Amino acid sequence: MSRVILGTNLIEDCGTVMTISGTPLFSYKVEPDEVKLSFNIPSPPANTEVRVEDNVICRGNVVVKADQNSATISHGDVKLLHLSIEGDTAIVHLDLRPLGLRIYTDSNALHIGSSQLSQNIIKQCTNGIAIG
Amino acid sequence: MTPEIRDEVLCLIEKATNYLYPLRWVDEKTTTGDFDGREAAIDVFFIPSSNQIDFLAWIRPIRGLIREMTGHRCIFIFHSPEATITHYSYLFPVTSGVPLVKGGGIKLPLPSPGGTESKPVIISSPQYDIKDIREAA
Repeated sequence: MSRVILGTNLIEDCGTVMTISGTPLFSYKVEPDEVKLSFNIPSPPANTEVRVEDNVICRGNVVVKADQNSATISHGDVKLLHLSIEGDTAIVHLDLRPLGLRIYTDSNALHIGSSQLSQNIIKQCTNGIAIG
Repeated sequence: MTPEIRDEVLCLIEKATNYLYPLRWVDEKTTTGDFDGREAAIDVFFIPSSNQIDFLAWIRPIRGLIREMTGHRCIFIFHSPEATITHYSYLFPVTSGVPLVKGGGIKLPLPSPGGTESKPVIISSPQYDIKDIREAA
């Protein structure tokens, strides 16, 4: 079972949590030594391509840090994606503004352009949130 | 001013201000009536009055470029968070508390420059299949 909270939205047992222009943005695996995070955003729509597979940087000027309960992908001072595991749930904070996309989370909602998604429950859907 | 230039100007300002505030060229959706410089006026939303000076400082390095691109000095119309919520909430839709099971998820367009033109579409599907309906009948 996959259970993710993204900007207060619960996304459970979906094929993908979030896609951007048809590309799944991230996935994760919890392994005994560390959380393995994959992240993929093409350019366009981002102003620069970033691709990380199981914590290994394939494209983009980013830094990956991971431990047993969390993983972070940073671009400069900004955390593009921070994922922390709490029980059976992954809590995800996202900020794609350094990549030229107004997509980010705060304590209240997931912001996509002018739209805000908050406290929605999306279960057993093909795509949780599809952008573009 | 072409739509491409207008988009480019918004992108420049967004980048200079780290996407902190949604922007929009003044149009009939935000402003009625006429005033000098309306064609080169930009609405800036959710900006506290204490941050307006910072906003202008951040875009100072690109104001000359914007003036070249647009042929005018831009006018910025600042809307505080309270004023934005009170008067312009239709530009900022909130989808909250929707339970969606076995559907297609929530679909949104890519954020446009300025970020005031996106509305989510909820793709639902029947929660029960034909077998469930037959059994219920």
